[in-house]
Amino acid sequence: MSENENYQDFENQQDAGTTTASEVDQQQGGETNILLGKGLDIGTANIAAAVQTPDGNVAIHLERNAFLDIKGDVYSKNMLTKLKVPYVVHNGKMIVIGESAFELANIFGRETRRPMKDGLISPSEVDALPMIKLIISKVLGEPAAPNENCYFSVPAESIDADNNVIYHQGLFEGMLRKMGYNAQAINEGHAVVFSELAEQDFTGIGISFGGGMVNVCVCYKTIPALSFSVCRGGDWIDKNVATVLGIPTSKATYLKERGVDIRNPKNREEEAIAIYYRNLLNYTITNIKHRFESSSNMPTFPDAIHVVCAGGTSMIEGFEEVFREEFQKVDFPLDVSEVRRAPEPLNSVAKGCLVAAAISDE
Amino acid sequence: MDQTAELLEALEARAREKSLAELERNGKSRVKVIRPSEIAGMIQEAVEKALAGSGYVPPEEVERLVQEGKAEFQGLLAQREKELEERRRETERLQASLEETARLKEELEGLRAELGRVLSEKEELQAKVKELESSTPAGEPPQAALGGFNAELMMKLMGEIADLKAQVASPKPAQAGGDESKIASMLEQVMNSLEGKIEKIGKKVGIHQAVEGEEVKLDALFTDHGDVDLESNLDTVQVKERSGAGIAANLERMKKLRRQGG
Repeated sequence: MSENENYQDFENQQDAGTTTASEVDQQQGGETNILLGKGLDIGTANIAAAVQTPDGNVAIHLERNAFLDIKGDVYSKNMLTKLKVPYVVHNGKMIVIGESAFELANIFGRETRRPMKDGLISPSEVDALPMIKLIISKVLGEPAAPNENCYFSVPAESIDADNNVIYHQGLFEGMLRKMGYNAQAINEGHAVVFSELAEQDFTGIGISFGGGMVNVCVCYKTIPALSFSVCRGGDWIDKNVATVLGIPTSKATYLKERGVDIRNPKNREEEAIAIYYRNLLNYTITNIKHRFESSSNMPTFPDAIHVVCAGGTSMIEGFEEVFREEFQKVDFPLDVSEVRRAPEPLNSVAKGCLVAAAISDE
Repeated sequence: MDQTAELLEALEARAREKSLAELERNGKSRVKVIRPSEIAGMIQEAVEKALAGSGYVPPEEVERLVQEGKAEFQGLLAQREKELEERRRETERLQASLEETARLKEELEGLRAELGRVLSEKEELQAKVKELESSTPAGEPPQAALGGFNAELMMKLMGEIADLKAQVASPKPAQAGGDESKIASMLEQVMNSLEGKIEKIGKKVGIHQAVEGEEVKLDALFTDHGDVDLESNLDTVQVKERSGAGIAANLERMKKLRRQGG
């Protein structure tokens, strides 16, 4: 994935996400045009923040939601700083955070530590809160104005696990409020609808295939009619592939992200990845159908609807085609006119959160 | 064995008989004998050798064919035996069904006979009652004629039936503190008891009728208590940024929907 991304390092500017009013003034010849509102996708695998830029585009700041503790000494600190590898010294340990942690883990054959598990803050990771706070501060930056709106993504209640979304939501609301934002939560699937189904009047099904979970939202004209999640995602695929191949989970993640076409696997490793992808998609679609059929208050859709997939786990090559194949196997209770993947799957949830933040200012 | 039988037949067809005396006359006091199965074995061996030597079919192939043939035969044999077993079981099942049917028919006949007997008894009794009614003068108890039946009891029963019919035809208004209020109070007692039980069960599993209080605010977890700043190089490392498509169209659409919604 990192090979395909078009990164822009802003060497001579302030930390990304911080734009002062005077700077914007200078850029626009005296016309102040601060676009307030930020979207924050707090995912198990990645954290992404979205903000509108004066040129009408959206700037996405992305960081891997992982960290790794390493042996610390002065030499290591200097080396890491020179290599622009972000670290922090916490409880006497030197901790590398973000994408660099993932890369180092692969080099040393270790597993990264993850602040989040299965879509929620990890209850077993002692350093989860301070680390995730650091990562979020880095990607989100300071508010552009006091009490700036910040919509952050939360998962829906899971239908296959007993999880506490209320605590997770409360935690991040508190964290963002302390950072000076007016924090509001939005369901992840709902954010996908906001981002990708504008032309369909925000009517259809948005599915976010995240690292820890898959979130589904059935929406009718911006109003969510049904939301739920299943506790399988990219991490579930990595864990099972790692088990089958007898390798560390980080290695399985690396194999998955370096470029596999799940329609046409070329070796045993790719076969394993394709098998679990297909299983994940079948599981998701079957549960969507089951939830539709068992819900009593579903709206009536007069026209055929769109189904949009997003999230980092959907970025693998061949995902759209395999999703359509699995979808056709199921006798879906609604008319579906199109099944597609978001053009920017990794940005979709953050952008949807940004839409919610921006519109709430209007 | 079939091959041996065939060979034997062939040998029989081509052989000539000679008596021991003839053999002795021809100077043969001892002759060599051989069994047909041994000849069959020799022929088999010769065929295999010839096949192996010809190169058309390698020995392994021959062996494989032989084994395949044997396996196929065994498979067919097992299949036939299985089918035979199934047929046998089916036959047993059908037999059992037939026996059951016969038994039920017999029972039915018995019940019909019983019914016939009961009906005839009823007719006899009805005839007796008519006879008595016509012969006994009015007022006299027909007790003796009924052969021990307690007519007084019967009259009492008939009187009660008449009362009930009268009640159904014109029901009396319920008395104050009567059955209905009794039933209502009993129902209330039952409901209260059920509610209490449900409440107990609910408390055990953590669900209860308590009203939710204020939402828990976790902001204080992130209060700065004057802790020493963490040593880090985060200020010097830039976060990766990329550009995405704008959201102006999304916002416009949403505003339009809001206007339509009113």
